[in-house]
Amino acid sequence: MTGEAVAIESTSMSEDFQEFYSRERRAVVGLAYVLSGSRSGAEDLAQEAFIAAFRRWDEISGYDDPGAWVRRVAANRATSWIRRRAAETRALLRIKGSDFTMPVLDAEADLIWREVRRLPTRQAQTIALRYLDGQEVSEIAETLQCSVNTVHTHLRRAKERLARRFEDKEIS
Amino acid sequence: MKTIDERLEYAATEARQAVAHLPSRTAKLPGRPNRVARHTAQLVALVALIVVAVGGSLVLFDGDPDVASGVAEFPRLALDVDAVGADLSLVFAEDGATSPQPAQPNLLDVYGDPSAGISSGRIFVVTDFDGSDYLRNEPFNSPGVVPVSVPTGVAYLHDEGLASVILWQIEEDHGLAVTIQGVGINTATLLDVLAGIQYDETGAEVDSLPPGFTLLYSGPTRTEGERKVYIHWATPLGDGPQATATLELHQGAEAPLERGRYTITPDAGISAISETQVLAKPALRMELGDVVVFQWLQSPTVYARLIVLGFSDADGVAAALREVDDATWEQMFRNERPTDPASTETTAAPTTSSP
Repeated sequence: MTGEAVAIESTSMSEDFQEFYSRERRAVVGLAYVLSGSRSGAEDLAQEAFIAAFRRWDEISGYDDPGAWVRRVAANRATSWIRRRAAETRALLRIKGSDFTMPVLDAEADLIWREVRRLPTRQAQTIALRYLDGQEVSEIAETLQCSVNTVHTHLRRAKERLARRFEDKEIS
Repeated sequence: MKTIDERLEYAATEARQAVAHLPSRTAKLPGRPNRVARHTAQLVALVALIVVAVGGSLVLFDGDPDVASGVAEFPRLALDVDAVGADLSLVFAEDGATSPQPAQPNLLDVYGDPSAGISSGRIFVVTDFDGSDYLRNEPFNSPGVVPVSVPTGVAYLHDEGLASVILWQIEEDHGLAVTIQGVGINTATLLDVLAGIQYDETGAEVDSLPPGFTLLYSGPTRTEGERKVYIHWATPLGDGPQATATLELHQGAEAPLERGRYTITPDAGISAISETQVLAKPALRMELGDVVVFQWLQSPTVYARLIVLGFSDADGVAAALREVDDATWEQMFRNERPTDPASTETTAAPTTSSP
């Protein structure tokens, strides 16, 4: 557990964090969704990343791009089985009070993201940041704290692997 | 035929649409040390946590013949919730189905002293043919990484006390990498292992091991055909923290306990490790921050994990595990499964939504 959970009214929370949260939330949930494959746990994983950012907001708010930091944490947690499992369990507790159900992806999209999740972790993260989040290569490098060349390599290898797999599956 | 770019763009569009309708809401956050304390007087209100809208609805699977057949091969274990001493109930049980074949499995060698007990130190040597993912967890901890000289340049040591790791990117451009992880192994020993390591394109071999150490497992980090089930219990949603317990049962893996131990270590942050008993079997007890994980061999081919979060007495939760009868076991899987196909891999169609 992450400690006593409280909701802090926007007037008391620093406005810049609230704005940051509102601006980035859907993108980070989406990233957690495609990398974890869990409709139920994605929002909790994203929430964990925002909690981590909030705890260090004094420092992280001074970064050039706090969004890159929170995406990196979410991407890492989404590919960590123990975090994913805990998030799913917590999320499923809340179902009865839910008025929102994350839609199921259609079969083709679901298959593609499943194949992405089978890639080596860094490759999967790179693909998600590039295509889902629309990040440029330089932004991905900043998010994942690696070089631009490394991102290019991950993208190239990931797409080569995916191409082979789709050929093997004979999916048109 | 679509190009890969077209496929990924399509999948991304679908995923973006899936989250586009997330309701807007205030951030739900824990109390932040220091700053929250400093600003307590300024907080207008600390209200009960927001009940968020997440995930799909529970469904019933009465009459689904796959339920019994899919989980029948597992030992029947469940928590006696009355014995836990908390308002605990079953959230759902899921048949995790059979794991797919990894595209390019990393190779794992596990070394330890078989005469020293299951909580004794282990060295995990992983050959990764596509660059190592280690240190991806909690990257903000990376200032603790120390460079270590190796023949091809530099390796990186991340010492977290009980669990430490050396990452060695042997080939440039994120090709062949070797990760040496030690749990319950001091850093000097780990550096000795690094100094004696041999490698070629097929993987890495260790020449220098601590006295008594021998190879306990050698094979892929993930194996094809391993079957899993997960059972989740939790306390009700309330104003305070929720407590959860998850039982994982893994069937069909070779040397399952030793390989299973490795899957814990990348989550770094192990603060304590000891030996205990679960269901009268020797078990490993590990503390990872706010999580306590128990691991034991339930049968020669089934290893079990109990992941406990938020209980003041995690050992009491483990002690409440019981063997249950067939009817109780199957009922858990019939009535409490989520609709989330991405997490359950089930092919059964939902029939009825729960309230």
